Amino acid sequence: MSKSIPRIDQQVFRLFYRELLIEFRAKEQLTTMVIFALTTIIIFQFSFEMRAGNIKVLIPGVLWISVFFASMLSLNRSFSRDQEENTSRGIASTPIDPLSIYISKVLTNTIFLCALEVILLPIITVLLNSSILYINLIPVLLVGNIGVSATGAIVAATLANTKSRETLLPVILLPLLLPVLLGCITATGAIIDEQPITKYGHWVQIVAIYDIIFTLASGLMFHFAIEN
Amino acid sequence: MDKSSNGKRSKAIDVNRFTLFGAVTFILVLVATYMSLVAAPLEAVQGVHQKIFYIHVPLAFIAYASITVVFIASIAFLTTKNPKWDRLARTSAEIGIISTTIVLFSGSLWGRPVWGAWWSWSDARLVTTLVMWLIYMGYLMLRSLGESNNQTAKVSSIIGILGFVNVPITYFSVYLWTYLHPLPTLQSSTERPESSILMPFLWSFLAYSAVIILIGIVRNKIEKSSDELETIKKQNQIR
Repeated sequence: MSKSIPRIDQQVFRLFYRELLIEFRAKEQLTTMVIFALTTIIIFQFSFEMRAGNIKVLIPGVLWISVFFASMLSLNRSFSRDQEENTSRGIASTPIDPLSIYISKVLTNTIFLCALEVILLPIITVLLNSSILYINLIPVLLVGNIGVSATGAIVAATLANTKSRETLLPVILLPLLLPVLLGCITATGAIIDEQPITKYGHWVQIVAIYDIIFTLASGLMFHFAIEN
Repeated sequence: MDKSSNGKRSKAIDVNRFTLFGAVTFILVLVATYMSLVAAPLEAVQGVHQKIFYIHVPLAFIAYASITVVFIASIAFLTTKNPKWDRLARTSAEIGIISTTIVLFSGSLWGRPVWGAWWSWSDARLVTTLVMWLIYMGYLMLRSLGESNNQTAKVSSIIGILGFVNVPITYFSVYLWTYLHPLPTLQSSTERPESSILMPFLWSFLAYSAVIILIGIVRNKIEKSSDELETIKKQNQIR
């Protein structure tokens, strides 16, 4: 009579579907991320235009800093919402593997970041008068988004039960993500400057290695992060 | 009666051992200072500026070692939940921060006359050492803002482990992105340091390691007393 525990891929799919459904109904995370990233870009434009002769050189930094801070909002909201509504306790009481929760959170955040960039890139092209719509940018964006999400999910989950989570999340996450940001900013800059792949390929590889190491380490520790 | 006198005796031995270790450390520091400032010859190219390496290099080793201890102790705490591992991680993180701060400052002081700049953003080892410093400052902030309980210890352990992932990147970055920073001479197969320079290095390493171990022992004892005090406070609140 008793139902068997779903396989890990089925668990991931159901949790991922749950995250998307919540977002589809509430339209909270992605909307906030887009508006926030847009505001950041406009502020950067006003701050730099007076001093910087060529705004194009600043685009990679502006793009990735906006993505980083927008993901901060998304991750914080994702875990604090589960905490406030006691969903995390509900999920913890089911025989779901903590690894599935981690993978579903990383997947959701990566998808949100990809969606954010799809909206953001044409806006940057229009507002900053520089085209950054390059096909070569896709792997860079992908490894960067996975890195931000993989590290962000474990840190946000870890801090979800602490008092100063909003303050501590960027303080702890930014230095941890610096290699990812450094690699992605450099690679994005090289692509915008239309340099060959030999000039930036190693940066993509370094970020990809970082992603693998952090995903494995975080996946192994996630059950510690969510246990009370 | 016997038990209490034994306790007093072991405490006395402990104090004696600690004083003896302190005295040995003091002598080691004096010898290392003499060896590095007086006995070691002036380096042909860098001159007197090279002397800063007798502090910089041993403390860099200690910084990396401390962060490794944080990593191991954090894993041990997560698997055993024994508070002694958490205390060790806490103490090592503080030592790591002190050492890294001195390493960054001394490196900057050396960089100004030799590189012509206090800081170089194009040097990966320098930048990643700063990143390591920031990660463990965040770790200590987390500890100071959180309550002194098992939850904070668990949360910090996870950050301690994640932070360690940055250490190999810091260490190997010099081989990947060498720019301004000199390759570590002590490990280079082509260029061996002369014994007149190597000996002061070893003495400095020994002396600063002893100082750090001494600080670690004191800090660990304070943390243990603090944990015991917390437990007594909680027990009184329950009553």
